[in-house]
Amino acid sequence: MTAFLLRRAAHALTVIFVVCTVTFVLVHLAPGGPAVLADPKLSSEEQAAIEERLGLDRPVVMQYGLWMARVARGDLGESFLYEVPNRRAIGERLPNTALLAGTALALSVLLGIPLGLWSAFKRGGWVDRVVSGLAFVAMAVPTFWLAIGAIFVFAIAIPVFPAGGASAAGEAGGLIDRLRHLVMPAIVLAAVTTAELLRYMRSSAQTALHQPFVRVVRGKGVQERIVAWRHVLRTALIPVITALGIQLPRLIGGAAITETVFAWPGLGRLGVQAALGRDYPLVMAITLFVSAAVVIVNLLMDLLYLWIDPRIRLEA
Amino acid sequence: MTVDARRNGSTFRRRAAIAGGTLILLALAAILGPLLYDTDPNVLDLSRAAEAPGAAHPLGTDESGRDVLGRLLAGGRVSLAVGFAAVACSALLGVSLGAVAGLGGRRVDGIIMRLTDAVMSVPALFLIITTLALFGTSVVGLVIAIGCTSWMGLARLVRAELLSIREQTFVEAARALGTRSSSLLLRHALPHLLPSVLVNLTFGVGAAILTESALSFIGLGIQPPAASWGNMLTNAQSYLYASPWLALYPGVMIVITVVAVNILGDALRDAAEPTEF
Repeated sequence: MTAFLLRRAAHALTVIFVVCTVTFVLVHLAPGGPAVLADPKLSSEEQAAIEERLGLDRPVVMQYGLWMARVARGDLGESFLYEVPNRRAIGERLPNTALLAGTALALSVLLGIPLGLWSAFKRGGWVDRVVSGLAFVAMAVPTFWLAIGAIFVFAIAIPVFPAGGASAAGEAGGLIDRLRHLVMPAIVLAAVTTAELLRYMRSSAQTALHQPFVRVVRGKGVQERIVAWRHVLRTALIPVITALGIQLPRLIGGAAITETVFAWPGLGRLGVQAALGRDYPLVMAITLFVSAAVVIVNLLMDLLYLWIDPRIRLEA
Repeated sequence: MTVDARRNGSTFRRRAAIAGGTLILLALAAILGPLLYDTDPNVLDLSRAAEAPGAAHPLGTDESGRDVLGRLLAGGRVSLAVGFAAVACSALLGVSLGAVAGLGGRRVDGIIMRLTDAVMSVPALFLIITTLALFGTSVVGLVIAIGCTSWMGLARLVRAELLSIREQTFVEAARALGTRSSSLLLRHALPHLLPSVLVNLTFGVGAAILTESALSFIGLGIQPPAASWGNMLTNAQSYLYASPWLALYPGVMIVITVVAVNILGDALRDAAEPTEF
């Protein structure tokens, strides 16, 4: 168990290290080099001062070391579009993204896993056929188009939900107001992840169903409902948790698109705006931060394996 | 084979044929369409902006008075080309990295697989927008950015297949006969790899088209005036109230294309590994 946790933590550190290195390399390969990080509005003296501060006259290896040290201290530079430290810009938007992505993730798990299990047990039944068909289409629909469609139907044709934003203009917004704004973006964002989880769950539960222990449990006369929820679910979940780990980065990427369409004031929309505004320091800071956050959430999700898979828990 | 299985097999083949036919039609429309339908998709005519479908413009005009049918055909060309080119790029990376990892010994394997895991656990969209922001947006840049963030699944697949093929008797026999390792790879391992690689690449085309459309939609992909299915939808949101049909066509084209590609992928997978129970 300790070995498993150490291995996963080492993996997380490697990922963060690789992302920092890739970002460093990208900046140095970019036309204009790391000087693009300076504000284009600056005079040449100011630029020279910044270059000196960034240590651009030093050898690349040393610059790399300095860059890593800065990132390790949590210094993510300063946005030149908003003229605030990137850390603050990120901190302001983070709660909104966490709310949206968290809700979407919860929806996908709560819908995808039971429906996938059901489809595996009643294979070829109408639930299986409808749900599998929907999942197949959901994976082919661009998130942003689904968002536009949702706005057309539920904000324009039948105006039941607001078309965008995280709360009504001007007010801080009560709980009901916040929820009304959350419904459409969360469902749109959850669509693809739900479809993916459902397909994984269906095939993984099918594999589990054909294992000898299920025949033994059934032979003992255990109710089918308990066979599904206690025995098959648990075994089938192991590969699904792995799939969830792979889906998480995609969900966060999808959040950037969803936030953009619904004018949801989150990190993803900030990143897209920063990229469009050529605010390099902010785009990079967001990429670094989001990657690290995804890796850490994934590390926490690894703890699920301990709960679900006794082989890891009991490993010497 | 039971009667049931045979019937499923034939509906499956029919579905695969419909999907393949749809893709061929789409490709033909993209290649020949702009030649046959002789309307400049980039000509602005603000006096005829956002017109409903009619005789002069079969699918109407967009918010700047450009012909929607012309832009759909031109955009299809771009979207399909970018999708296929990006997959070619990720195939090159994935197959070569996977082959090096599978054949290169434990150290090399370890390094490449850690790199693969790392790229897989990062939100690709953010890496892509960082790259596009730093290097500027161009079609080639877009293809490379999508390719460089989508090779991981393929690399893992190729590596795993090579590791298992290496243990099989026919490889042992070939090696015992003194076959060089390069021809071992090309003549013996590659034919074994091909089916599963092909399945993976097919799904990759759908994913690449979706990524391109999302990037073009947010303004970091194909740049106007050039049309792509994604950037045709950029402004559609603002005109949703007045002319909702503008939001309809490009989205439907993307969905049809990706559904067709995915059905084809499913069919190829079933043909490659018929182990359904």
